[in-house]
Amino acid sequence: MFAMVSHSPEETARIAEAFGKKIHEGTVVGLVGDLGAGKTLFVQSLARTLGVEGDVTSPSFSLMNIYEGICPIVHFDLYRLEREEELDDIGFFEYTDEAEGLVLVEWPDKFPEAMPEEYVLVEIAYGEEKTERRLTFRGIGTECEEFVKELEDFVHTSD
Amino acid sequence: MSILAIETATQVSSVAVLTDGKLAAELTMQAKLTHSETLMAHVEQAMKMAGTKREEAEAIAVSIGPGSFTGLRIGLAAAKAMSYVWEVPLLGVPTLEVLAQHFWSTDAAIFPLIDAQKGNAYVQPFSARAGRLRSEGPIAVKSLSEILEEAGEEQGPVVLLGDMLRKIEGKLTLPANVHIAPLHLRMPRAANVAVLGAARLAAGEQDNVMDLEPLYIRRSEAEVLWEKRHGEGKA
Amino acid sequence: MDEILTLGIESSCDETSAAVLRGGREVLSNIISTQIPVHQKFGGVVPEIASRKHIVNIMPVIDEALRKAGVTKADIGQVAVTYGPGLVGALLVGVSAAKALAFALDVPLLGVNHLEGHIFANFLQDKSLEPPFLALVVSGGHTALVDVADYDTFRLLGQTRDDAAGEAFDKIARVMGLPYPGGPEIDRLAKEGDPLAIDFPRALDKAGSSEFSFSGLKSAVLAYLNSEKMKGHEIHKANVAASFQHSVVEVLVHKAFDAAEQAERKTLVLAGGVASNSNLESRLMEEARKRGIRFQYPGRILCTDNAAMIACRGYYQARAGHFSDAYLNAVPGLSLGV
Repeated sequence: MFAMVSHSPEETARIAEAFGKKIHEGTVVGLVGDLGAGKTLFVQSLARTLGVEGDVTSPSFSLMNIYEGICPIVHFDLYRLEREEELDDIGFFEYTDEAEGLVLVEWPDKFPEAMPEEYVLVEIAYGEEKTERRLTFRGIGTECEEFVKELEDFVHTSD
Repeated sequence: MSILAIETATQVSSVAVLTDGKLAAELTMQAKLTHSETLMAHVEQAMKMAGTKREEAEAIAVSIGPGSFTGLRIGLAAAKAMSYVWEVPLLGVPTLEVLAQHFWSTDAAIFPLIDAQKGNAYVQPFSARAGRLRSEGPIAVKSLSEILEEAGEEQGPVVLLGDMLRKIEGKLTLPANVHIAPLHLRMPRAANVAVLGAARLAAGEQDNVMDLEPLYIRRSEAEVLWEKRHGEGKA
Repeated sequence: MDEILTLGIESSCDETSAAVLRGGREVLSNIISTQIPVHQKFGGVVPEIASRKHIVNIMPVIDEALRKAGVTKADIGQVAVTYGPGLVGALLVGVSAAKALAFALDVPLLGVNHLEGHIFANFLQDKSLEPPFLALVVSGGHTALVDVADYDTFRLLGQTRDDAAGEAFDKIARVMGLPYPGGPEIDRLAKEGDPLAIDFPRALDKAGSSEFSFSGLKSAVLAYLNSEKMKGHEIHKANVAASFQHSVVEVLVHKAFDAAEQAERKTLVLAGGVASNSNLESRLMEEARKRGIRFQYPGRILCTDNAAMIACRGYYQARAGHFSDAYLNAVPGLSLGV
């Protein structure tokens, strides 16, 4: 795992872009962070990098959005859910089990047991200053741990 | 008069028309496009292929699960709407039974398995000696390892089928008595739904279009369901 | 065409609804699932989870809609259904049922945008209302300004870049420990508070811009709540609610009327679930009087998700020839405009 500090929304967007360039299809990504930390902003930049042209907004209301980029991108927001049955209801497992394309999950910490064995965890935390954020990338499962190492090398060489 | 049958519990999308004791038409596919996009187009096509007019539909049979909640709701909502408009009986058919139909006469024990995610499967054991297919236990949610262990303990051969097979074939070592169904006998199809539906219709049964729900089996529910169907004293 | 009966079906969120509309404006029935005690009728337990509710409710509401309208299935001329935006599992039940109904009845199918449906609810509220007008759409998941030039000609002037107003309400309410849904709770609490007690920023309040952004305001409120907590101050919830609501409402009001004036529209129309916020309504009415613009808003029932508004939008869509085919699919992220 590794961490980076972003001093502005623009910097966060650039980090998301780099992430998008390296990410493999079939990956599940969990996004953890307080309200307002910038999870949706991260997803927006990531989606643009992957060729999504339409609207990319927070699915906290619709619970799940699907975008068409160079691969299908499924964007979940578990914020409003209370019970694990609701995950079944929105087909959460059907998408995260052997994911096609990319699956992004905001607020996976609401149902930690529900996440698959392999996924990348992105944590966005508030920093010292108002616009500062600390982004931590962690790979859960051996394949994703490998990926995060690759990502770390890529990000540091492209600085 | 025709029975229209719908199967959308798994990734397979299948529609069949059973007319006068003949399987007049069946459209079965397993592709990326979701059920919600293709189902009604397939219904229309299958009826056209069978030469069945709307007013000639005499019943709607639909696979009710367990399986994908989304797929099941799409199929059931459509089945209900047609049953309601045409005022014909609605016949729900359990999906594991639909699968078991593939092996209607065999000495092997039949274990249809539908993916319940997180390494679990919906399973119900069937036996089919002398051309009589019958369930030998309740629908349960079990882990794959538990299922394979139980299968290995069976006296005779065991046939596994259902969409869960893609997590088994080539990936796990099976006990010597356990066999994988070939591709063409592995997934549910509407022809099987039609046959089961016809049997229910002949027995004068039908479901309530106003409140029929899919079978959402959770571990705890399985026992209750079994008790209801088979009376007291059964485990 | 005017006497055609449109069966509307709506299942994008929590409510399952079916309605029968005669022509473009005459509501013969508008049935919302909470009105019929399904659990009492059928002796089962009503599931709490949205998609489960919909598959149970869908046929009873359709049946009741026809019965209440005093029409038979054969009388239905076309079927209109919400295909987005909304919860995908919920939408699929309505879309699937509607497609099958249209096929079984052999009548045309119309896939309707839920947000456009909200705008059209106003045509049912006031039968004499005609386009052109400017619409402010504020629903749980959307905040947008739409110029409605004609029944089938819309121009999206601006929408939210991040959180919708409704989402901001819900999130702030949750952080303050208020029950869901948060919007009405904040509305209620705000009545007891002072809207000018705390000066929260009004993000993207640039004159002439029709874009919205509420995530900055959301962050400001969160930061305020956190810092007060750290200082050990007790939080005056009514004041926070009132001040937060004040910030949201002022932005909505100003942008809406600025846009109306810019587009030279004499009427401003309110649409969407958040439309029932009392403060928003009263401020819009006040500002409308000041600026000499007519203000139109839907009544209680029509504010919420209902099928009559879907049928209405469907009717006008059909008049413009925009029908859907058998491949209509649910689009959870559907947005407004072109």
